[in-house]
Amino acid sequence: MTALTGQAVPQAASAPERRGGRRAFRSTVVGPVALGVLAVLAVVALVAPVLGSGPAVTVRAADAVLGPSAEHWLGTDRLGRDVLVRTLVATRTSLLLGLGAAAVAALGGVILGGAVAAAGPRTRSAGLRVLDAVLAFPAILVAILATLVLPQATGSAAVAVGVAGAPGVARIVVTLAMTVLVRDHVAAARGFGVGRIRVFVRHVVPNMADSLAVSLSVVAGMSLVVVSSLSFLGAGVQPPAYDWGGMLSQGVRDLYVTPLVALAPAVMIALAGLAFGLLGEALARVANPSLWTTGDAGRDRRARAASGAEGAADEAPDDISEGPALLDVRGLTVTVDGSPGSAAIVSGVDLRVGRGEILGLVGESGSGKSMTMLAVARLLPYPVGSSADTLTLDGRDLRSDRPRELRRLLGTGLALVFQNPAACLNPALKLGVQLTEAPRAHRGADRARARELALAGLRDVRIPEPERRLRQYPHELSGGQRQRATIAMALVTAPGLLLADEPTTALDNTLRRGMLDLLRDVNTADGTAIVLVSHDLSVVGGLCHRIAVMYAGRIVEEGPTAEVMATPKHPYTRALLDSSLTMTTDLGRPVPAIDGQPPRPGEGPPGCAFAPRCALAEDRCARTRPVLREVPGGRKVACWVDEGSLA
Amino acid sequence: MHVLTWAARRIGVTAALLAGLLVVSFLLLHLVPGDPAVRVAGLNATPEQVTAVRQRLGLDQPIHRQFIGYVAHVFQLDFGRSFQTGEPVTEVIGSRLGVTLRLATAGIVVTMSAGVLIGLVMGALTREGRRRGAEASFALGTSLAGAVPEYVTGALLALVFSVVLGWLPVAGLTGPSGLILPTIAVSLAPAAVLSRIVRVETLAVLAQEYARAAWAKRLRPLRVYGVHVLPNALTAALTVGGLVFAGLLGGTVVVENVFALPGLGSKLVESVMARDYPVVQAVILLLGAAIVLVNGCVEAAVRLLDPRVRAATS
Repeated sequence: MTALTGQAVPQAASAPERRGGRRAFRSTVVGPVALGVLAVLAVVALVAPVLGSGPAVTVRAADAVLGPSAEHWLGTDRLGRDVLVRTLVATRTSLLLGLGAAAVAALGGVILGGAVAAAGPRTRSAGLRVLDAVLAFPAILVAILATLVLPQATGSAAVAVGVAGAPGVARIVVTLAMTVLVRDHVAAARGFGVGRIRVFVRHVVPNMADSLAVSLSVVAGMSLVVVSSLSFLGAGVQPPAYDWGGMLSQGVRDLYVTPLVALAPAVMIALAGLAFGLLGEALARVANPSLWTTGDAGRDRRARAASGAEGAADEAPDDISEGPALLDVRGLTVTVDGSPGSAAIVSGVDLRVGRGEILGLVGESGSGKSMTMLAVARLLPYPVGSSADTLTLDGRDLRSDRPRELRRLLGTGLALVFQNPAACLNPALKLGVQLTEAPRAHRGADRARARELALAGLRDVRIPEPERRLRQYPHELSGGQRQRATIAMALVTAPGLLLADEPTTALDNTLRRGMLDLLRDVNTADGTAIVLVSHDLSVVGGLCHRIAVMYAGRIVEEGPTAEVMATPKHPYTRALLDSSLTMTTDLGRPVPAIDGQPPRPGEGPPGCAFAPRCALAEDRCARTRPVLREVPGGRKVACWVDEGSLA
Repeated sequence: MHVLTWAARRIGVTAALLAGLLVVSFLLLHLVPGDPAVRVAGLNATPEQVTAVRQRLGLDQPIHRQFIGYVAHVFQLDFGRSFQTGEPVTEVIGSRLGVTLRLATAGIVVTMSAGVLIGLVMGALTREGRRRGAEASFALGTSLAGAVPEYVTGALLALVFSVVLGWLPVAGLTGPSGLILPTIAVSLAPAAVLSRIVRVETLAVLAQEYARAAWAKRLRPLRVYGVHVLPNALTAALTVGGLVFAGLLGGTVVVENVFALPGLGSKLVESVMARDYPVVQAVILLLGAAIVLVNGCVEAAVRLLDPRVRAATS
């Protein structure tokens, strides 16, 4: 059995959530089933002793150890008593003792926990330490010891188990009470000089009643099991009274003779314990949906994946990239669950990046830019899937589904840096391990060679004392050094292309500047091509040779950075520019934001996706989608509105 | 906090817990309603016999003297003689310790390795909402395994493997095979609970940027899970390791009775039923000390293994 402390403390649902809660409870499936099992057990507990207490105890030596028959469905025990009848009759004692123990545990736990929670901070922390120490002892041991002190009566088993369970309940009560005590109305009551005990009884107990009820269902199941084990050990219910545990004890002794004597109560104990436990779990899920790990998690995730689908694809103009493109993507489509019919997060994106080029991929959250990047890196989260007419890196086709093939193709050619660069370092591993494993895996470097590469990488990003760093854990570095180390880690295999997904978003201004400088250095020194994904044009503007603007999964404008920023051709680009803060922005004026929301995948008008938010939208914009067309100056735009009217 | 300060504090807490344990085991005899001397001598004893017992156990002394005497004896590993058999308690325990030690060790090894391995594999298989069916079966199976008490598991195992199939001995210690069923019985529930915790932890680790970065390095899955995910998920497993151990000890007490193993647990139950206080006191002290010390070691191991905890405490 598990200790109570291991489980999460459920939080109470507020009143308006209750009705939805009932529906949620029904949808847990196990909840209603467990409730049904308990209802049946309750009826048996009421009825069976009335009908069967006679036959259950009548000793008939002639009928001893019979097998199952029409008369005795589960056979008889050593004394000729019907096993089924005895098992059913024992339901009442077993359930009552289990519930009694749970009641004792609840009462004792609330008083004990309340006392600890209401005490001053010093007493409280001392009390918590003692509670935790007591909780380290198995409940069955504490219960056995408690029976030493208690008189030998049937009810004593319940008290003993209740005493053993009280510290667990108390621990939960303290946790719950601490969250309630800091709420406003409780704080106010205390402010008015209401006494501690009164605050606890009037304000704290009612507010944690729901959460406590959830825990108590689990406590009831455990209590029932522990009472039975006490009886099983001979320290609980004393003959001639009997419960399931006592029957099981007898049954185990006669296992070779009449296995059913052991099997019947064993099944009942497991069934009842499980029903209480599952009921508690179902209630906890209803009270706190975040505990719901098995239910809708996948669906939620899918929705999150779709709505978090940031980033767009973009295309490098042919005139800027010289020779064959390093990265060539054509007709890239990313869908919510990988099937052609499902909602598209990215639709028909073309993207070309030349050697040594820095491309900025810009758009709001949800525009599909991150998904485009992950699709290129073949790292899309399940169940999102992609297809493309062309997807090549350095001329090699990346559209393989074989992990071994992808490892070979992408291991050295392409590296990624995620949103919070410092968080890309594994906190449990030394930098030496993290910086050397890629070259060892992909470049066939031995330990010494990989170490050289790692040291060179750290020097390139200007981290002082690189030898020492390799022996350090990430937390021993400063925030700025961690980011640099991440870049070094990404570049240690000397990839031709670096995909950086919002690498500056989580950073403050100083660190942001440092990161952008570092990326520029990497580009100039090693000729590493970079795709920089960002929602912020001002970040992209200073660094990128070319910009592609993405909206609702499509590229809407693309061109050399300077020209696009100076004369945006798409109304969306213009709006983005207007809403981005730059060093020269007059902070005295309100920052204009773009009204409205981008459409979700699979939604949006048949025409231009931006039309509903566009001030210049005409009739045809909503009806027919404008294609990305080339315009003079090596630029592309997907908009019906004339270039002239926008300039 | 410096390592030494931290260690000193940990040792202080452990010592305080052990002292508390001494007090509780001492008070055990005195919390029993009625005259302890009468209890020990038996209800049919003559007043002279009761007086003799009282003097022999020092129960006529003031309670603080009794406690000092008790502690002094404990430190000399002298727990007196068993009321039942008259043997020195240390000998009783010595003859029983081995079985319990073997069962508990086997139990913790099986629980930890099975719990971590199954949890990690299930976490890997069901990441990002993959294989919903497998996930549901796992949730149901571990709920079941975690809810069924050890003695029921034990009885069912004995029924299937000993009675029906006749593969293994049903009871008693007949060589190593006698420990197989008891070990499964004590490990099943904790391993189920642990595997759930490890799976959730594995999913949490897989959602971290550093796990994505490890995938982005195109390492082999075995390396990603073994080197990048496991150490982080293991910390969580270790933190509940103390609780798992305590649960295992409790389970051992019960399971020894199911399989009639001559261990400390069955001796404890026997002594409780016979009100053999010296044996009860000694067994409780021993089991309690084991729990306290293991928890101390677990905390030290977590600190050692997880650089973040080390950072947080330094």
